[in-house]
Amino acid sequence: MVATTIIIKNKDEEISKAVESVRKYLKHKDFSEDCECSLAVAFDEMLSNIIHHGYNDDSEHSIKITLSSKGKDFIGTIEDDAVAFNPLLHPEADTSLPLSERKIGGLGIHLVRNMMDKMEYKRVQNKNVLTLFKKDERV
Amino acid sequence: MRITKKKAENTTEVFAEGAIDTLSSPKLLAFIEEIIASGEYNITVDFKGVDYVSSAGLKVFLSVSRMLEGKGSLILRNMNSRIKKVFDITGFLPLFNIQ
Repeated sequence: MVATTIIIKNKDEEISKAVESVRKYLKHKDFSEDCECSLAVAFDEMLSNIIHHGYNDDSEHSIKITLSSKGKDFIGTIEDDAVAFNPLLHPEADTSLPLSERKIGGLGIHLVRNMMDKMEYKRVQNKNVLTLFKKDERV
Repeated sequence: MRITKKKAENTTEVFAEGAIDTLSSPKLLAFIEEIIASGEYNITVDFKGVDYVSSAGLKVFLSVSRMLEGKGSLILRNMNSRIKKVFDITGFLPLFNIQ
């Protein structure tokens, strides 16, 4: 399994760069458009969380993204040196509230949890390592 | 992202193209806010050219919906199944007028 690596900086504009690379990778590997869009949403959500909430300083940080696949199974990893954050332990968003009481916080993680087949989190040498698993369901 | 608008009979139609995500959502919100500021309170967002919507996009529709509350209406139309799924997973589907 040959992996593709992308390194981005902790800036909003870099999210689009990463998402474009993910989409290009999936197109090249012949994944369906549905799968491509689910993963585009997942990377947009997880990277924006890291960039908006993960750093306590104004310094430049690098975020490493690794993409690999075997057949129709995609595995993507996001590695960052932001504050320790395990999205798998993040409380579930309340999706039953009426419009007037709705908050946006936590919805992104809720979305990703529901769109991915599996997620794994590890804290390794002061880094967050999040792995996303997604199988292309197209026959 | 490319955003355009067209005045229709009882509504202002907004056509977005591309992804409604972290980077493009503030542009879409500013675009719609400008329409509301000009006194147009009935807005229809057409998703025909939209690939996908992330939670940053949901935030836009939540904000717009609150701005129009009691003044007008927000209609979301031509969503593909992927976008509908995002609205469904987050419980937003029954909260909006989706056509």
